[in-house]
Amino acid sequence: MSDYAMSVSHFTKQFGNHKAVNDISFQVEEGELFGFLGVNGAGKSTTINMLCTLFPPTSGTAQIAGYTLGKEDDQIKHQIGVVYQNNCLDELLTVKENLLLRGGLYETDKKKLKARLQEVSELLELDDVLNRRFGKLSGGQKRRCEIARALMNTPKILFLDEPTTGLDPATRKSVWEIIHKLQKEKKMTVFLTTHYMEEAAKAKHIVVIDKGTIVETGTPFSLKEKYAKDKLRLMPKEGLLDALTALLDEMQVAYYRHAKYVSIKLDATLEALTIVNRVEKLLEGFEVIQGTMDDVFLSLTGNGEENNEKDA
Amino acid sequence: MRKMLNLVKRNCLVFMRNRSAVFFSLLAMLIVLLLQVVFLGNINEESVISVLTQYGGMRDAALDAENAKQFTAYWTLAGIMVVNALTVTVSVIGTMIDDQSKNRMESFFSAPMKKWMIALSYIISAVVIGFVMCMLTLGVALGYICARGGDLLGVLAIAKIAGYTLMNVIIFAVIMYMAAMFVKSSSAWGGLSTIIGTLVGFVGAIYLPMGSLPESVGNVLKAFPILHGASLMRDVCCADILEKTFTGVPELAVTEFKKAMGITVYRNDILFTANEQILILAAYGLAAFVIVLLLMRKKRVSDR
Repeated sequence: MSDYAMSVSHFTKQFGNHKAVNDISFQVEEGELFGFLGVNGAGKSTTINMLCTLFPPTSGTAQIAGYTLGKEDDQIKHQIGVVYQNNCLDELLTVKENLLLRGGLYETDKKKLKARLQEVSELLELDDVLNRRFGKLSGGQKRRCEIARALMNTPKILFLDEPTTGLDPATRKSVWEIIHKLQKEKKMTVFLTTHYMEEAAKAKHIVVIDKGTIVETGTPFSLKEKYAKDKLRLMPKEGLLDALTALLDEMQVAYYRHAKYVSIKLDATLEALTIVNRVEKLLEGFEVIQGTMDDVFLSLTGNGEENNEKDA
Repeated sequence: MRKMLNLVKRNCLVFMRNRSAVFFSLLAMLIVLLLQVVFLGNINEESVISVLTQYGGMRDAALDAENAKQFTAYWTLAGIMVVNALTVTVSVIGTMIDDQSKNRMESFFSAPMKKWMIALSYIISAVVIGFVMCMLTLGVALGYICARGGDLLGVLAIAKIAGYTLMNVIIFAVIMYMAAMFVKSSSAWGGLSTIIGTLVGFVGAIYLPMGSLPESVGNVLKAFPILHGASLMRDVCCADILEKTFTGVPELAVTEFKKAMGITVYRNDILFTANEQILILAAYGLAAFVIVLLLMRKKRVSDR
């Protein structure tokens, strides 16, 4: 048990007749980046809120940082930090006031609090903005402050609920740099929900949930291997498209015909070589497109197949 | 406990930094003041003088006019103290609605604090700010009255005013917290506080004294806590100046006058004593408190 920062078993949450979360179980290793994926409304936030002790699950148990959820909520609260989707610091107060006040909900010793503020502001490079009002900061600075708030109680586990949604690429990158830094330098366990698939690929383990149930677990690599097939795209010379498809029919290769090219799903990347060799003379060019986390996600959450074809 | 005080401090800071919220919380008071300066003040003064000329025999007209002015000032001050106690707490409780609608609550709930502590922190901040604002108003008003050559209230009276203010603020804060549990959006709360700010002057019989209202309306107002709060406050604020103004006037006339101005409140010709009025206020506060507890329990169960 103690190897895991968090282990959840048979979590269910029922709102009326609707099961928002239905019997999910998973484990999060100490110090890992754990990705929790799902489309909007899949039950991600409900799960995170239950893990953060906001409301109890209808049934199921969880161990968080060695404490039992529902019995030792207060200890759990001290061990976790949560960054919410929306900013929840006060716009009219300065960053410093915000952080000290929020930190004060955990720690009452003023000296310790000030020291912690120093530490956190150094870690997140907030020194320049400490005395500015939160409301006047840029989106990226605000996000850094939100993370700083979640870190004020030196948590062991950091929950990030879609931390980069709605941020520009540069800011997203800087948020990710912070997440990596926290993991490397502070050995922090990070529990992340997102629907940016390329972000999920950075996680060590991934759980994909859909309609409240877990549809797949694994590493990004294993999931890609399993669900994201590589694609071969063949571009024939002018006017030779019909000849190409005829040849492919003859070879008994399943393909999908587009206006100017043909795409083929591959079980293994090397299969591309044999096919390309056979039809080489008809080709203007070809490319092999690697499966992405997007494909994994789409094929796992149902409505994927059709889209896959069109994208190819 | 320290954690809760920390949250109280936060709520207070958030409110005080919001200049427009502070201004609008005092708007009802400004309206009362404006109306008094423009015409209500004159009407009230005239009613004092008419009582004096009718029952007082030969008098020093200039002194009477001066006393009437001072009485009106203290009478208005009493009204303002109650109006502020209500409207300021309404605005401060609005912070909670704002926190809810902007999803800031979750971050408090995930901190190691009990939910009742968070709820209480809003009520306490409303009490603290409401009380401080009322005391500031009192200070300014007393300064103004003295500067105009009026008499300052005694220490005991001021202490009593402070006590009543604290009581009013606590009771109104609890009642408003209860109301806030039914409201989901900031705009709805804004609407509610506008209505409250407008109505408080009437319900407290401040825009129109009790005597000018139809009896049926007066009877309805007696069922509300605000009138009793105002009446208690007026009794303390006006006691000295009343005695000075109405020397030599028959007891009965003074009693009638006090009734007409809402300084004392009667039910079927029986006087509500100060203790009874305090009891009525306390009953309202307690009822609201019990409802808050029940609602919180219901919410907790529905979370399961």
